[in-house]
Amino acid sequence: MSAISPVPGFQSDFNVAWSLIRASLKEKLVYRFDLIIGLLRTFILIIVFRYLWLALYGGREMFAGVSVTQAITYATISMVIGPLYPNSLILDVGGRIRTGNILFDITRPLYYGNLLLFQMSGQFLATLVTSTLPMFVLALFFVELSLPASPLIWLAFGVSLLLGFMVAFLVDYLTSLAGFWLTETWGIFFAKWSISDVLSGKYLPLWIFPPLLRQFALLLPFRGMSYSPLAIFIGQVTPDQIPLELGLQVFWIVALALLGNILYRAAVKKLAVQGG
Amino acid sequence: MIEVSRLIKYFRVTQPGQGFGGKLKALFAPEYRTIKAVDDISYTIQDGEIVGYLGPNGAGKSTTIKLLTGVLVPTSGAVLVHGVVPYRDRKANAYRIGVVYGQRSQLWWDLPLVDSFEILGAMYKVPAQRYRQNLDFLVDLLQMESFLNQSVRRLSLGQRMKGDIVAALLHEPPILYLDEPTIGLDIVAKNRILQFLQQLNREKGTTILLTTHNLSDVERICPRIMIIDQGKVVLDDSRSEILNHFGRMKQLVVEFENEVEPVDLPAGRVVKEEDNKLFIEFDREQISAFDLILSLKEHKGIADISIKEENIETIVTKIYEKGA
Repeated sequence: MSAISPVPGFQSDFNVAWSLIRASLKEKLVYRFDLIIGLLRTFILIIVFRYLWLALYGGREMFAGVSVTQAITYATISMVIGPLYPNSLILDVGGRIRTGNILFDITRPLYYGNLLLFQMSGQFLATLVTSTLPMFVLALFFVELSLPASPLIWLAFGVSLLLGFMVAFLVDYLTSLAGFWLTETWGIFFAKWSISDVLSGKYLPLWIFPPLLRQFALLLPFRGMSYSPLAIFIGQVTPDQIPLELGLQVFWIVALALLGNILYRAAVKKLAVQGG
Repeated sequence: MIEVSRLIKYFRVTQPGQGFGGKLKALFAPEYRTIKAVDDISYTIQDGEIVGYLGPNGAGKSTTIKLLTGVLVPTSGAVLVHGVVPYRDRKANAYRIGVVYGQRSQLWWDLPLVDSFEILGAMYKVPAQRYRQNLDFLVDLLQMESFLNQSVRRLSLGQRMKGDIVAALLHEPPILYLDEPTIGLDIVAKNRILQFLQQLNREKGTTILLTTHNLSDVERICPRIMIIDQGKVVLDDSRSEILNHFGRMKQLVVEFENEVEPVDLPAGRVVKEEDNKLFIEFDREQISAFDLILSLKEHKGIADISIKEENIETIVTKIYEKGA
């Protein structure tokens, strides 16, 4: 047998991506019970945040230039899009390193980061169809939302959401590479989870942070995960600021992807020299 | 062709430390110990060979496979697989090799078996028609039609192993590494897989390197056998040479009714006494089994006598014991 020469070209690159996306889409759908629990969790969070914001506003119309409906919309959409983002890659990757199955991943004709990205994209699609869209429709009935009037804002939100997914993935990927150095990954998992939930503005919008913390959070990549798409959605980022906001997300994606590449190489080297 | 020259892989591991004080000390000032997993090994494997790589647990078999696949970087020495340095060019190497690990699976756990094949076919960019041909060829040979559409988690160990073998071969690698592929399999599944490997080698010319500590596997299908222990190759020879060289020695097992009686042997020597059995080793060119048994005719307490042919198993045991 002589080695087969791989089919070159975009079509076969696309096939690689699509086959992995489709596989993880299917895998995600296997766990139906998990899905239902996830839906329930999201719904409860939406309702809780609605009452929380109503109580915090205490009858006032505006706070920090944001209306109560805007605040509730921010929280609701945040809960709806939350499950789209990967956040526990380190547990999977750490597990594969502990069991040694990582040796399959690092000897593939495909960059491990891309393999994970395609897998997470599959989960993104599965979650979009089974959770995000139905939850959004459900929320329309239960919560008073202020939706963007202009289709352009919707489009910008969609783009920002995709970029937000990429930022979330890369942050998670970088965290997961820590698994190559540490045997115990739960600590890192929880630390990263808490930090990114707070600094991305997932639960509390960045504008109600104390000024110093707000400045700090705005300088970090986490803002690109939740704050950017949500602030665009409720109009806190005005239409003329949208290109800048999207540009920032793209900047972070490029920077984090480069960092991921460098770190991955160091991780594999560490593994290859010191063993599993 | 696989060329391994003066290959060395050492690992540095931390000592956990004894007791609380020792553990505390190890936390701040860890002590290291060097493990010589592969210790100066050289050999060449030609295209189309089937080589059995034999050794006890911890001998360095898996480490060698990891060096050949490019997972590990050697401490020193060189590995060249079809002209490629595996760890330096993992991607080029990936297209040339297939790997099966008996203790791990590369299949997608929650999906039907055939889905894993499709993913791997795409990942290795196998042309669609070649993919179909290869899949048909492999599935037919390993008789897998009945469980192709079952999810991997529901497969038996033997079925899963066949799945992993197909997964490793869809991109037609000229080299196949198998690390303990028969571990835990029943005799039927094992035979099917060994037969398949022989057939694959014959029909496609695939070079096969098989590690195992199950000696009968190697004895059956590997014309060349390498025995490795404590990171070193202790023996690298053809199967027939090994059997010829070591096969002269035989064992006579004498079982007494009550307890072992002292015997006076014209040749050979007592190697072991166990319960009421006596193990006598003799060289069949020195004395025949018949003469040896005849010399025991005065003993009334003998219950049974049997002759044990030497197979690779006993040969290897002997080599290990000598090394230890």
